[in-house]
Amino acid sequence: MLPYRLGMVLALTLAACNGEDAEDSGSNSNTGCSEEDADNDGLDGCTEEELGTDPDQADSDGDGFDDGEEIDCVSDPLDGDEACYACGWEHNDPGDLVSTGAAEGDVIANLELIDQCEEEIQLWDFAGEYHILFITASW
Amino acid sequence: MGEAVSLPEHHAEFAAKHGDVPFSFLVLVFEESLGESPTAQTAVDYAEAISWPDFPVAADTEGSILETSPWEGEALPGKCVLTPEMEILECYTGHGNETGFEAIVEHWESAG
Repeated sequence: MLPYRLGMVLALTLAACNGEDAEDSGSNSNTGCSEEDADNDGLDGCTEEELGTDPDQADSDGDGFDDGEEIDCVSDPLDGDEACYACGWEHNDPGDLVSTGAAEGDVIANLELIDQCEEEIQLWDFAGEYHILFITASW
Repeated sequence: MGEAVSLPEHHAEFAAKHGDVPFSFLVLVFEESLGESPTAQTAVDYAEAISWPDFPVAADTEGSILETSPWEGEALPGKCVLTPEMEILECYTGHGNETGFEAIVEHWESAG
């Protein structure tokens, strides 16, 4: 759900935290946010502030993956129902898709499937790329 | 399964020709032998049989693709081409991917 927005937020945050005006105190002189990674989740305080994650809790949504891990695997660190896929797929569902039918030209339904890592995946997480669905049977 | 084995090679060929077009295959197993529904193990076994590609090999445990696309399951393999916005560009039956690749490139170019 997050990647498009998240990329922008991260870029802005990192730009702010990279400031040459940062001081040795560990806080950004422009924003006052902390440049320390207090919870050791791979994200500094400025980034956590922008993302809305808890700077003192490595796994803000309690899904078993640290916030930094979720950013790396393109998952939402604030959505406990969305975690890193074992096979490494990104969560690219832009969040505003609506299925319009089953004919050519329609937005296909968000099929729930099970991948080769034996994990449930959702078709819309593969948005952002063209796909050829190779539909077959295991005969 | 013959054609599925060569999908990584087809993917590489497409990327070599159209590297700027974001594309991936997604193998969708919708039926087991004797018409049974596939399971997680089906996806594992199928992925192993085609050398564990770096694109998804998935079990459609409900056979949902038959109700959610124009493909009617008359013969195998079926192909459905999806845009990055998850629109169904076209579905067809048969071997080879040229039809799908052409549709993708045409759509990509028309989208500018």
